[in-house]
Amino acid sequence: MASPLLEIRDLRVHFETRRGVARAVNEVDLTLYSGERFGLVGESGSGKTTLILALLRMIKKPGFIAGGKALMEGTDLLALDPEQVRQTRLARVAMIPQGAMNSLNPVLRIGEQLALTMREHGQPPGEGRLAELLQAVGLKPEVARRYPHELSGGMKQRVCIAQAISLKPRLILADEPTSALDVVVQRQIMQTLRSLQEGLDATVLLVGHDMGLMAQFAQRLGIMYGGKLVEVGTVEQIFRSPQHPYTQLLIASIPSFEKKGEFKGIPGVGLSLLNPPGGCLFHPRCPKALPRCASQEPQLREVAPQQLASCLLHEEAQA
Amino acid sequence: MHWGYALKRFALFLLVIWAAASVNFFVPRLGTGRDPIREKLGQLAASGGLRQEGVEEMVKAYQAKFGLDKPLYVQYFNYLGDLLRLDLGYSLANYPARVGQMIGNAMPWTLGLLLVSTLVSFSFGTLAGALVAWPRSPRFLQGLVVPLMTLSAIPYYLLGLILLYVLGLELKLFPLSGGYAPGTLPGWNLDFALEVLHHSMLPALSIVLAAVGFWGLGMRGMMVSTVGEDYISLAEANGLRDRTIFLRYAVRNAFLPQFTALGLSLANVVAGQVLVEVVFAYPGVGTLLFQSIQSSDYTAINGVVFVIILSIGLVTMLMDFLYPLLDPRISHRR
Amino acid sequence: MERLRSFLYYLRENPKLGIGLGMIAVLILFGVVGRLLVDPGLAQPLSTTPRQAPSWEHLFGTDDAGRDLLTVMVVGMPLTIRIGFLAGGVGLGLGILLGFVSGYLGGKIDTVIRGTVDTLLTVPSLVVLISIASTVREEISIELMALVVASLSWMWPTRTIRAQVLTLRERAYVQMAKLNGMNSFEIIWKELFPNLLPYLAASFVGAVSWAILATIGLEALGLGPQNEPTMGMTIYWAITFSALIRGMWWWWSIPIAFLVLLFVGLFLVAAGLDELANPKQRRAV
Repeated sequence: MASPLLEIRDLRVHFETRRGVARAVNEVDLTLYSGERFGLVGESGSGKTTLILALLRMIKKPGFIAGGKALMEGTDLLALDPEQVRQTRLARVAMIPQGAMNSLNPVLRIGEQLALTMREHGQPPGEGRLAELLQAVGLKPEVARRYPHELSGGMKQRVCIAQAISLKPRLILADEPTSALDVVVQRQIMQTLRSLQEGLDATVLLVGHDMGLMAQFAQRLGIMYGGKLVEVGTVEQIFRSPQHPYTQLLIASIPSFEKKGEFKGIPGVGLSLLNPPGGCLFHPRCPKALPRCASQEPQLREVAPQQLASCLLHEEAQA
Repeated sequence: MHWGYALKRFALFLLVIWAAASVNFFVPRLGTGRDPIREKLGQLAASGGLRQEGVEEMVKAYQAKFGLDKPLYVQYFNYLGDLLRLDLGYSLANYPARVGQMIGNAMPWTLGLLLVSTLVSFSFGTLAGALVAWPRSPRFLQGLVVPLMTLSAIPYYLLGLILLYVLGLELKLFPLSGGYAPGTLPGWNLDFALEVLHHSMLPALSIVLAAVGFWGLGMRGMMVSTVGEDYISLAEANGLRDRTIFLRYAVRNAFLPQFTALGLSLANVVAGQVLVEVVFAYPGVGTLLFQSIQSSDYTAINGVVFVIILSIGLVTMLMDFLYPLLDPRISHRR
Repeated sequence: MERLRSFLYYLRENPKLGIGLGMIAVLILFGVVGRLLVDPGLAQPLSTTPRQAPSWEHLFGTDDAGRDLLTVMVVGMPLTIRIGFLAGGVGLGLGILLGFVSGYLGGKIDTVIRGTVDTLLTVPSLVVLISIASTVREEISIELMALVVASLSWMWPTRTIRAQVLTLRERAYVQMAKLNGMNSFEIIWKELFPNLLPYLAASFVGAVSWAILATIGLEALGLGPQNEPTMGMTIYWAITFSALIRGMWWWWSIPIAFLVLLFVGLFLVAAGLDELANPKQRRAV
């Protein structure tokens, strides 16, 4: 049984706007284990990207971290001072960005950028380290002398991955790293990421909304809706026996070759974070909503071994 | 850099020079068909006086090339030929001085002032503008924006007049005119150098104060768009130090369009300086131009304008060649 | 009425625009109201006692030739503004034409126009203007001055407008219009033009600024209309007659003060319009 690497407790990220406070991340509890591949799934605006930005302490005004802890190997990431935060970034918690098209400095060579980043953390690359890094992500060492505009989108993303692993971090946060790439390249990059992760025994938190990708890459999944974590479980559990109505609709909406039928979507309109419904956030769109759901907020509880869901249906069953 | 591009660019440079020279030649002769130089020579000849001999020589030389008996295109080709050899002719007002010589005397003053004031205002302005736009720079810098903006709106020469009055006349801190005190003998010694410095302070200050705002605002604009780019946020997520991100990611990239702006504004900078020189009677090309206008010294006027256009064209071309060194995305390779 | 109110509301958010417009309005008002109150004849030489410091009789004093400076300002300010607007307008007109054509049609036309503009920009227009003006000296009138200045003021507007047209051209609504069968002219007029208005306004203000700058520059060198009491000519006379040294501070400082007001006002309006066109910049400093 692997040990916990990151324990997020009651994380709350709010955005103050003229029209009120938006709870982008709302009382989220999550535990990530060492060496695992965890996928965080949700629609746009569900809070998944905000969550990883919070871990990196990159939330900018008008957003702010309203509370909670993120304990990693003894330190609370949310309580570090700015210099400590800077040192933690990349060295302990690394990020792979969403769009690599413009994520690299246009005026520096690839090798220079990698080396500079490492030097800023007091770990200048030794002889041959850069070549080693580039080869690890499937690039030729000559790429170090190129400029970003000379590389393709896939190559640039690989460079970003190389940068992310350069200091052997314990936790890698990947924010939809392949959404801008074509399917073939997507698969190759995810395979590279997987083998790298296994080699480093690092934990990867993959954020996205592509369920197919998640199925192939992740070991466990977390589903987010409206800033709240509504279900957590292994990939098999989520796909075979989803316990939360939202998850069930998500799984049902994936087109499949075996079952023929109508293409199902999720009914209703997306929720407004500024004007959230009372009680369970999902109840206006939920096909199994009970009258109670409009006033009582469900808690995240274990509904099967290692599977958690936040739904009043289960509380009733257990009662 | 490919030779093809270099040749094309050089050809463009020659084209501009040729066009400017042609405008200089034809515009005065348009419509009325008069040739102001010939008229002036006629006046000089008629007025007689001590320099009669020299004038006759000059008139004869002029007639040979631009006489009324020659068809226009012959005159034109003679004119172009002269320019190619950088022969700018005799000064009408200061015969026997040659225009080339007069310009040669005035050029170092202008260049000195131009280089120093442009360098200072560009560097300070760019840095100030970059700092003002950076979210994590100290608060008091934001207060610079309004004064910078106001100063940049005022034309150089107006500012010069104001400074002349306040610092020169009222506070008597600086001399009112000239490049050095009358009666001093120029020489390569410290005393003279200090004199020159003292006399250049006001002109330089006028230019710097007015231009700093301009460069600052420009850089601020570039920085604001640069700061929103993905590579800046990734740099931050990767734990780079604030200063590193500011200098090597933000400024380094925002500087590119700023450099281009410098090249494009060069013409305006020179024009502004010309007027400042006039205000301070600074012995540069600007004052020379002014005096030539006053004394209807058409050869000198044409000569000065030509040299100015030539120099700016040259510098812009050089900057064009330098640009790929700054921006690896542009390589002028076909 | 509604529009006026929302406009005034907006001015509160965009102080630069408001203050700038205010300054210009004051200057124009000064000219208009002043015209009703003073006798323009006093702006001519030999109309009153020369070399008077400001007093109740002559609020701005008089100059060496006996002109009453208050009158000179009342008459001259509108003249200067007029030249600026005329030259700026012509420059902008050309800029709009060339910018739209170049940006929207692209191809060879674009290359030619862009090449010409960029090349001309490297020529110090002021210097060329000096050269031209110095040879046409005797016959120069206000309108001719404006024309001369306008002839070299269209380059920057062309450049900026072309850049904007290029970005807008690719936007979805232009593609939609094309699909709906609009021809080029219709698209330019109905779709691009309204969206470009803030940029056009900003370009206009910029062109006017530059035109006034160039005009005053030329006049200060003595190359302007000799008999009109424009601001630049007044400064020229002041410098030529050594007003600075002779302590006649009112002769040169008052025109300069007015000019500074004018330039700062124009600048603020341009900056305000810029902000209007680029809301992203609003949140920055």
